[in-house]
Amino acid sequence: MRSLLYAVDFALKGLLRQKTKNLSITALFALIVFLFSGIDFMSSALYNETLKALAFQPSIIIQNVRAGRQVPISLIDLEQIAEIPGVSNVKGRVWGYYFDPFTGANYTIVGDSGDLSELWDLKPISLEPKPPDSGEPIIRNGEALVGEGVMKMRRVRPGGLLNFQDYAGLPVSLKVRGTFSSSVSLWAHDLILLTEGDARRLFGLDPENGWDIAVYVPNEFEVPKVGEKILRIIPGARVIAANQLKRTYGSSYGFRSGIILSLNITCLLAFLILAYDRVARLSHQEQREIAILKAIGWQTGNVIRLNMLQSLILSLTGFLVGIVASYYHVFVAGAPLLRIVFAGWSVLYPPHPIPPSFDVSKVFGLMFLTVVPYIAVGILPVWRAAVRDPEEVFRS
Amino acid sequence: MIWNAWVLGLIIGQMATAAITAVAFANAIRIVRNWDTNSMLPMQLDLEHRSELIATIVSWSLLFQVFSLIVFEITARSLAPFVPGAMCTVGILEAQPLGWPVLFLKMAALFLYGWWIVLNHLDNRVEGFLLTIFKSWYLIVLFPLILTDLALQIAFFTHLDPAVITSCCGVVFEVEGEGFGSSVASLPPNYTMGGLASLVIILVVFSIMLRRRSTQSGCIAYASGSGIGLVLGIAGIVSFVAPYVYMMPALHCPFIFLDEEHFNYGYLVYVPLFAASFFGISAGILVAVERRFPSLVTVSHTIKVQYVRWSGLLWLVFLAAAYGPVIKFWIATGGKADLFQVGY
Amino acid sequence: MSIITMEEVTKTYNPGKPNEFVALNEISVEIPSGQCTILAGPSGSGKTTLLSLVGLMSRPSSGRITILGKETTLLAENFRTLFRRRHMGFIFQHFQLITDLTVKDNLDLVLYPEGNSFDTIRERRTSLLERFGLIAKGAEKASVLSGGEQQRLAIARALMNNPEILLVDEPTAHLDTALSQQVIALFRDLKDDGKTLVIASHDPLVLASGLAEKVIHLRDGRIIRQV
Repeated sequence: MRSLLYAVDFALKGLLRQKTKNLSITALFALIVFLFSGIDFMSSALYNETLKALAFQPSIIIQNVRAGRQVPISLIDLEQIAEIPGVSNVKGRVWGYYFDPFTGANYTIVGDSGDLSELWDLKPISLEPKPPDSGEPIIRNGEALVGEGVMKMRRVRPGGLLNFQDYAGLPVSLKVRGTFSSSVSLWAHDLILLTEGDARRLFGLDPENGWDIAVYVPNEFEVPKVGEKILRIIPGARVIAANQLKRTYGSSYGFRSGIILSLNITCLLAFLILAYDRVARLSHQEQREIAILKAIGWQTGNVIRLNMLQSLILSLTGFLVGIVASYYHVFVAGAPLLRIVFAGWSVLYPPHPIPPSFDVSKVFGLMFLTVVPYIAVGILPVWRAAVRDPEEVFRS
Repeated sequence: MIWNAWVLGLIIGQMATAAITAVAFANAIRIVRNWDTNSMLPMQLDLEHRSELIATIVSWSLLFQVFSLIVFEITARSLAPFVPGAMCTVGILEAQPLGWPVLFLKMAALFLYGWWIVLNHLDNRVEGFLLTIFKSWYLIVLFPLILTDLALQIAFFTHLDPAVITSCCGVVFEVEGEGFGSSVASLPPNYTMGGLASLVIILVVFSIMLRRRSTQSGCIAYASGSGIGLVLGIAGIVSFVAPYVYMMPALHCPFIFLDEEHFNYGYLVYVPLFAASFFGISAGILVAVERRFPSLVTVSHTIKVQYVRWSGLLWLVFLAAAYGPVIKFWIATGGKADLFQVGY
Repeated sequence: MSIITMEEVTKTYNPGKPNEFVALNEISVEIPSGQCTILAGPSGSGKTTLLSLVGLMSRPSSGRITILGKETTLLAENFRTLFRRRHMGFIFQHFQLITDLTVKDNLDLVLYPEGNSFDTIRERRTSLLERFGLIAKGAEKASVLSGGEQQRLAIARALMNNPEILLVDEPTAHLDTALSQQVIALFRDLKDDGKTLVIASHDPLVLASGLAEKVIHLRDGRIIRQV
């Protein structure tokens, strides 16, 4: 055990004797790990957020489609749909996106006069003025609950005013009643909550229509059947199952991160080749040192262990630096570098800050991809250098 | 086929491992063909060097194999959202016939690599290269296993079909259901709790006794006990440890408690279990070696006793980890309620 | 009493190849215990090779070598190194110090694989540094030492593991007369300590010093005279 400690000590000393070379290897390694883990952090954080959002989504969403685009859907058949066995609740939803010409941002506007926390997981906070009692609806016509991101961008606070334009260009003035918190930060950030009436006014939506119909089916396995029956009631409608959404988002994140990863793999391979090259051609000086060690009593195993320890120290240090830097980059700094990659390709864009999620077991996975191949590549050259008879080396 | 970063990472890491093992394999073949302990030719010296290379490779491969097993589970878990019906690792393993075989193959490889290293450790301490030929054959036989592992893994992931509905742990380990998983899950928890605890305590006590006075048959008994302990331990995890961790009597999944939500508690249970049984069985293997090569007895004895000591300690850790949640539950409910009485 | 015995030992480099070279040809030697034996002969006579074989740094092509009662001919490399570490000290012609390291480290390294306690290593190192007058230079890099100091460091290193046998290759090759005399006196002291010395040298100063009880003359890999 002690000899291992001495070996580690000597390994470190050895590494420090060639600072530049070893520092650059560590830095390169850290960079690769940084990129890999950054992508992974982003993907899983976003994916978890998506999952959370989808958890509150209805099992089925019915949309009306004309010329491949979504148009308002009639709410006539709501009762009929509610009667399908397996359906617990049906609701026509009024919601949409609002493009704000002043800031160039898109907000999500939801018009819902019902219970917020169950269906959307929204908890109103900072209400101004406070509501009289719990029986009353949270907001009235002309009022809005506004997400923090919106407040920041439009520089309003609870009690302030938001000036929007409706679909016809007429001004709509909304008093900011407060904000809300949600376990889904995506929503909490850019969501604006209005009464149903206000939302309809804003979007020009008739009372008989909604933008889509939400159908709640508690039992996952009954969803396909329910979907079929819906299609019989409203033929031509687009019926989307939340599960499908889950999978699509997930695989698109996976696909996207897969592409970036493939690029990274190339870098990793190049790096490994360099690593092999570095260890394979030991300078005469290094070879001599090994011979001396063997001459004074270091067994081949000791020498191999020494070199492998050096590889391990280099790669582990690089790994740790890369991961910590990446964690900071993604979860503290908001991933400025990776944002571009993820944001451009989806409607759901990354909130700021991204909520931290960290799985210790993923560290293993990343190590398997980086540290393990690096060490594996070094075994052969290290061995070759370590087995030479010292006498042979001294004579040359 | 489902593709994600984890699958890629797993396959790359596994290929690196397989590649380096292939080098060891090639050298092992050379050794069994040309080895001659009494030769003074340079070739013999060269073979000795290659034997050293093999030892280095296998030592690190063991480490890689540990990673491989852990990352395989993580990869399977990461794919769960994409396969209908799968909510955890079990779902993915069920989704394709190769799933469980790959998992068991990886576990077996772990133990087999480990035992090779045990033998190598012994061989290095005694002059005369007594075990070198045996070690080489061992590796030659092991190598196809490693290749199979890689091949099956790749086949498994490429043939995963997101369109096929699979059953998850709720079904596989359902108490009323059919199938092997269900039979284990439906074992009466009182019996499994009592049985496992008794066996582990016996093993711990036995290990203490063996340290003072170890006999060959004693070690063999201990090894067998450890082997049974491994099987019973896994059964116990399914039967009661998992439910107590989740505080849900109907949830018997042996994988969920490995994830971050449960603070990766599963590792605290599985690692001591595997390690304890590994060292326990190693003691038995050493006895078998001693019988074949009596000159190794003195050195082997020291190693054996050390392994028995470690094994005993690890069994104790496993006991604490497996029963910790049970005790926590008892304390929380004032020792009155039984988790499984409610709706079981 | 012989501490080292070589019977019919031959060492051939690159056997079977065009550059095959027989360094030692059926050498039989007995090195007595507690005495100093000198291997004399011109360069290329096989002195260094013989020393290496005794030091278990390579294996003979044929023959038998017995050291301290143990047959070492067919020992595995690990055990050869272990044996050397426990019983022998080697002083090289070109010192073979790790010049990048400090004097202290050069000495400590010897005992690292053995895993001795830190105190043991420190004690040993300190007493040797004192004995060889290097205590002031402990933390300096070996590269800044003078030739004589490096020689002394090399000897100190060879003694770090308290060996019974010391193998020395051309100790006075890089030294002037005064330093050579010092080194010879040092070896006399070591002999008095009970160590067995085997010194390869063609320096007349060494041969004439009366240090050795036995001188073996080598030429072209064979023994031509033993005194």
